[in-house]
Amino acid sequence: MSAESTPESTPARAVEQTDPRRVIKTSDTVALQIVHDIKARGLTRGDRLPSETSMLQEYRVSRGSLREAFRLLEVQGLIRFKPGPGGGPIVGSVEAENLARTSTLYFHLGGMTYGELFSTQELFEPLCARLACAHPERRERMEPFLRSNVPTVGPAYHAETIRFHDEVHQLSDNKVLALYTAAVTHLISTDIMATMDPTELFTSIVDEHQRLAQVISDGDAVEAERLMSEHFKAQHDYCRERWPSRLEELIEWR
Amino acid sequence: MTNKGDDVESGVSASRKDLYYWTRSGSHRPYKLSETVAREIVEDMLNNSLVEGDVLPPESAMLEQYRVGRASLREALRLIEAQGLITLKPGPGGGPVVGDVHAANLGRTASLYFRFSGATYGQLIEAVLIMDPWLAELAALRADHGLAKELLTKSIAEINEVRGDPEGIIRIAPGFHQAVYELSGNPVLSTMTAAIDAVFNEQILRTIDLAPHQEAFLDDHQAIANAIVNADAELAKKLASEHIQNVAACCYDQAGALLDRRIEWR
Repeated sequence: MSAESTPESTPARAVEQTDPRRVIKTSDTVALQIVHDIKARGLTRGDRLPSETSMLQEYRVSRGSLREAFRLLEVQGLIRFKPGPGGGPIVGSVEAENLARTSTLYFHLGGMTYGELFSTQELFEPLCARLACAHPERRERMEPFLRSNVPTVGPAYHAETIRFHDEVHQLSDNKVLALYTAAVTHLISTDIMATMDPTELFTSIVDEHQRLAQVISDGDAVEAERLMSEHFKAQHDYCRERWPSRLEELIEWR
Repeated sequence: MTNKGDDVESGVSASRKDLYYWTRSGSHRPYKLSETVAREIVEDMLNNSLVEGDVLPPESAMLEQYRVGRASLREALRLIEAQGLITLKPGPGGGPVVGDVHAANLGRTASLYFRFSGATYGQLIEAVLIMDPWLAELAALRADHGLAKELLTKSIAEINEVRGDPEGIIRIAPGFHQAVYELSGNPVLSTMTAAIDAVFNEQILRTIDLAPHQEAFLDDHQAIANAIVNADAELAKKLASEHIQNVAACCYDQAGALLDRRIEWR
């Protein structure tokens, strides 16, 4: 991205032949510029972007290209539109579930199954647990999960479960792996667990979280990896037993 | 699929209440009409077994078929195009052409998230350092012997062709690593790793002079290929780990300043 040519005047160019990537269009270039400017201006979640009129002038593109660029970012949740008077584009947030949604398009087209998603979770989640054991703030950040009076039913249970796994992903201290792991776990939660709603597992899940929090807090990487692996394998076995056909099904794109 | 007149609609099959509990509350973004149409187009591509190079129906037919406005249809096609799955040929008579499913395009989208979340090049390299040996190990454990031999024999032939060509390694390395990922037997893991690998290749390796290490890296590839064909998982993992550490060492040497920088979206 440079200022020497206005994006609109640059014809769509084909990337080099050996490069499998697609052709870059004006709206892609504008989307790049918008992201660049969000970061250069230090804008964060909820901050307003310049108005459409001023962006049209700044980027010197047609309204169609600008709106297309907005939409490309909007479907990834990275910008949003505040409705009503005084509304307009605002900075969104990075949600693993939006990356998950785009990823499922590839998984779906590639003929991949929920069983294969399970195996992927069995690799990523224990890895995050292992890496979390090296984080200098692991004790403080696992402390809230050490208490034993954790809810085992209802929305409070789900909120706590999401918070626990989020925290482990973040403690891995690798945002690439954290994002991937969160995306995989999100897909399994929505496409399998939400439908099965295995309430009889919740008590043991909560107990396992507590043990995991303790082990991660202690920095025992080998044990954390092992426990996290067992934690998910137990859930996968449960699904395999009760909904075996699901594992053979194609991952949905939705 | 209910009222197409609405700008947004829910496309989820589990009830809202369930999903609300099972996901971060409130962050579930409603679907735009164009996303719903995009989903239908992709389903139809699959149901009609369209492959790369096939042509989708003309716009007029699609407008009829999906019963949406021109703007929503074009937006839907553009969303699919942004993932490289179709190309919209400009000019009269041009219709959407089915493209290839390529992990590099998923990598491009993923790097947008990396950019926003502040992930660094150091973390990207760390991810490759962890994942590559895993996949080599899985490939040796699980790969069908015949398939492994077929895929890797091709790679080994390529290795011998590019020896002596200083740019050879960067040309064939992605294909070699991709072959190993595919042999892992887990296409989800393989796709995600290939997406990361594409970002790593494009944003880091291309800026690095690999020529001085070319012969050594080609030897590594050959040895890893042999270990996988011989189903020696332990050796495959060890060799892949050493290889990727040597590659990472080149990156640290030549692009040390990059490590703490945030991954860009390009």
